Amino acid sequence: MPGTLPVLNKEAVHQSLRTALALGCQVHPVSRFERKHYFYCDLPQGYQITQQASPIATGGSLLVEPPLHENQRQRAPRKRNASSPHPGLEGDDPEEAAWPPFRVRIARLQIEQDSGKSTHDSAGGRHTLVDLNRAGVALMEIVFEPELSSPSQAAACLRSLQATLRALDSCDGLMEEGSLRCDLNVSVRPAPPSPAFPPGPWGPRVEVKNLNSLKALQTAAAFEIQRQIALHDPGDASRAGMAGTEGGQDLSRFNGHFEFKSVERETRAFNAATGETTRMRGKEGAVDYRFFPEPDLPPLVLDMDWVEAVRRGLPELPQATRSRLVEEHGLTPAQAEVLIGEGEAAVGFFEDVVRGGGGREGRGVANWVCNDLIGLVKAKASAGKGGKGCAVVASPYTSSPALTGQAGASPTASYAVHPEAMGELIDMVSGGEISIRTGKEVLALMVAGGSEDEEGGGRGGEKRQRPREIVAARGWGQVSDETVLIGVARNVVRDPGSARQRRQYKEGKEKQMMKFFVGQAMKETGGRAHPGRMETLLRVELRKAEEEEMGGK
Amino acid sequence: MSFLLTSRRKPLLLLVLAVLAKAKAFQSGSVGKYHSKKHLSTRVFSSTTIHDMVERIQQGQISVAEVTKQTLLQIEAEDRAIGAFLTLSGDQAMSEARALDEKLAGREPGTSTMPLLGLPMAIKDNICTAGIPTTAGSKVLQGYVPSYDATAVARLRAAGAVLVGKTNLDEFGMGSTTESSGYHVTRNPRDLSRSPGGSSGGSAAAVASGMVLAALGTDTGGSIRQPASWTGTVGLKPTYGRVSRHGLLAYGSSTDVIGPLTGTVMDSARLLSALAGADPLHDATTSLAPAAEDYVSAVKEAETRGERPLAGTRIGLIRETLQTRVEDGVSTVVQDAVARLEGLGAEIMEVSIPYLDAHCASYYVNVLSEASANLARYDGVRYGLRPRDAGSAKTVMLGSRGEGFGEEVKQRILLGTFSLSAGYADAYYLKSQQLRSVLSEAFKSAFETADVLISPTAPTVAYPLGKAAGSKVDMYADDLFTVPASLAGLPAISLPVGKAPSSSASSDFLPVGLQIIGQRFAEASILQVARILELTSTD
Repeated sequence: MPGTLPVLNKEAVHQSLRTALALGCQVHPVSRFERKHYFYCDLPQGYQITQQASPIATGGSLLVEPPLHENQRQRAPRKRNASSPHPGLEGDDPEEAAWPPFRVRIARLQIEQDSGKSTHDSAGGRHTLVDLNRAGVALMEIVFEPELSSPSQAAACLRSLQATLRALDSCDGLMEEGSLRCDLNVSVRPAPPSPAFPPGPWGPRVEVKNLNSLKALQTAAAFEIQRQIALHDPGDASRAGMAGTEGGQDLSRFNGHFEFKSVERETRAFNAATGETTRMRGKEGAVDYRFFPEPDLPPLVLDMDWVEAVRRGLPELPQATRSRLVEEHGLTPAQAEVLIGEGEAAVGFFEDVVRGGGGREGRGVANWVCNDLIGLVKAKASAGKGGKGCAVVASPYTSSPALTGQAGASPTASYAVHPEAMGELIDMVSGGEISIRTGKEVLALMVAGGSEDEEGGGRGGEKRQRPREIVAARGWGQVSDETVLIGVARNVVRDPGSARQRRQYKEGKEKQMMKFFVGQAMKETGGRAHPGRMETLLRVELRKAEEEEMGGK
Repeated sequence: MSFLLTSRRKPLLLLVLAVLAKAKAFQSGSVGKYHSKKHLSTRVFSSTTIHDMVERIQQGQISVAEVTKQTLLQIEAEDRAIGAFLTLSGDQAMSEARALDEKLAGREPGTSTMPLLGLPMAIKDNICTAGIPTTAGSKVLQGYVPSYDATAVARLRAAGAVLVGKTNLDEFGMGSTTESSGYHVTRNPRDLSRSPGGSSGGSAAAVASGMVLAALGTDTGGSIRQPASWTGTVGLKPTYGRVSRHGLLAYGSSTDVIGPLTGTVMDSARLLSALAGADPLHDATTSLAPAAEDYVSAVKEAETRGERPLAGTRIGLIRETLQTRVEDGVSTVVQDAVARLEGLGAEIMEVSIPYLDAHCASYYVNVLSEASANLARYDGVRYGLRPRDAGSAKTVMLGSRGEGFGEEVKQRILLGTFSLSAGYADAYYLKSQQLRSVLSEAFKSAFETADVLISPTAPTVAYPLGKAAGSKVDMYADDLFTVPASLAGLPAISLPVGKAPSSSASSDFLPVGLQIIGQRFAEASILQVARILELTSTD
């Protein structure tokens, strides 16, 4: 509104500072604000307040690691002619060279004002809707140095940043909701004919605006690299492989003297539907932002004692957590990734379960948490039951939406399942009290809030049944009476319907057939037989049956 | 809003007569300390200071509603010739007045002690007033009604003031004669053929004509002080950051200040006391200010000093301001004021603030750069003028700005945009910033020897209407005595110190103002010097 003035949001400074410190940036005791001018409907003042000349922090770096599994890699859609692969192009190629982890340097971290949100697609593209609700709100912009060489590196960088921000809780990292947004800059250059030659000059920088997912970033990067390469050599794009890294194809005619005449310095928009970028404005349409110091905001002067206090209060960062989980608790990197992805609370929960009982093995606990618990809780939350009666015991952990079963978890969120109960369940399985299958059912009941006949009473979380109670109430305890088990084994083995399997067992397919018999035994006992014990008894029974058959002849 | 403006002529005349009779009755009851002061014209009722008026309301001699009504009637009668107001908020004013009367009748705690109880006030139209149109004198904001009060306005209301209307100004404050208003010209009550100055010309004229005792103005490079000088009123530009700018439609953000125009120095102090203070939630630049002082007590203390009330006060006369561009008549009056200050015991010395011309040029580069940014928001997208049949967002913006802004504003936006443009910013904007630091250093060393600095407020008396249009560069250059305090963020007051002979047929003499500049946040000391000098005025 006319007449209103900006006032700096202290929490925005606090969160920017925490992020800067966590990324190892140099925090500047004095930083300043400037106005950056352009006319657009989503910019109510006609300028954006930003930190151009002296941002709050500069320097620092972020560890970028390759994705864990090949199948996790999001690949760019292959729009172009399949007969022209670009061999030197990383990220676009199915056989993209693996790359070791590296640190990408951070140029700057700055505080600036958000603009409104424009929606262009409504009413058949004739209208643009502008939502000014976020206009003027403080945001933090992190600019990386041009050190990423491929779409997959770009995506990995963003993923790593997302994890860091989530660990810090300085941003929820939700790209589809716009709380984390990304602009991409792409330049290509010709590969030197051999490593002995210096690389050619970088081509003009092309900016791609507002990529709202990891996939969009990776797709846009791949598309843009291809587009630029094809532009400067439309006749034979396949020979012009090179996307930011050295060591591409032998392109003797480029020889370091090639000029990227046909690539224009411009700003492009990414179309998620087609996976392509389209021109927004070119160099001649470039905006003169006419920066000048913001008179309405005095310089930001940080109390360095406060900065140090903030530094001391920083939580552990994902990379440190990961190495702790892998090295101390023996988790697989994938398990660690899942836990960290769920946030600090999930890691805390896991560690509480592990520490809660003697001899609980990290990898096993992680299996239960990652493979079963998180999925169950998410399913329940999405079924609309989230937040209602799903807490076992209020806990001091914060913000794991999955574990609390609530979409925006409150700072004093409660768990869907208490760590002690989870630990008890795991112990019961590993101690042979119940089978894994029964264990999963018990866990489902624990998450769902008890058995059906107990539900509806509006019971407090503390009163919910422990796993041992559930097992006892339902008679799901593992059958340990040897005579019963022997009886089961005998019935299974001597079942006339199993004659074929018995024969095959005898003929050497022992392993597969044993699985069959164990399965039959489980069916018989409702899953309550101990698989290992059952196997032993089945072997005895099978041998007996064989001997009897031979004796019978 | 349209209080008695059109339809009810006859009853109005009767009322005025009744009021005159009443006012006479009060006159005998009030103490006449200020009655000899001629620079306030004949009024319908007799209060000549805020203190008088508030006291009479407190004592039940007159109701707030009555004061408000009389004021509105008088404005209606007199403003036809002057054109000080853009909007009268009669209905709102009357209901606020009645509400105050009810509170008084009900002895609601805190009401009778309100420092500005029942004071009718005029507000410059670039300051937001909830429910009352606010246009900044521009067509681009025609019909715009703010949803909120500027902090300054809210504080006045909290102190008991009643808003009677919004005053004319040069569009967005861009001018020194109020002739570049998008609506109409305002005339100087001292000589209707002349300009009241600007950009707070409407507020100055409203006070000078006696229609109101006090008005709010805004000062970016002299827009309170120069009209005060031209109309013979007291205009105070507080230190930058002393009064919240929240709700002020920005012109030059780094020098914009809201301040009072009044008939007397004491009234200026009363208003500043109500206005001053940090506004941390709305204006970050107020957070740097030390706590406001009790300006009224400071002025009272100055009044009670003995024979030589300025003994021990070192007053620096800025040498360059008597060498450049000054009219003889102005120079004579100022010299006389200097002699009087000396007679009051002050130690007078000459100080130097060199390169005044350069600072004036640099001021324009700075303020127009900021203005080009500040006026970018008037694009017709969210409020204000929007052309009919606008096709795209771009045509809305072009149309709104093309039709809405006047010539002077367009020229200044172009100049400011140019000064910030790539390739030119170093030569213009950056250079002006360097000069600004040079100026601050000059003031710093001047204040090492002097407690306050003085100069003529303006090099000339009021321009005849129409003169500015023919000599824009001269008009810009005539700001050279007021812009230094703006660029350095210092408090400065202009008070009438005498009259210079007039060349026009419609007046014999025209008022001349003296500017007193203080150190940052030292409003109390310039008010004290001004009050002591005011007491010796013979006009």
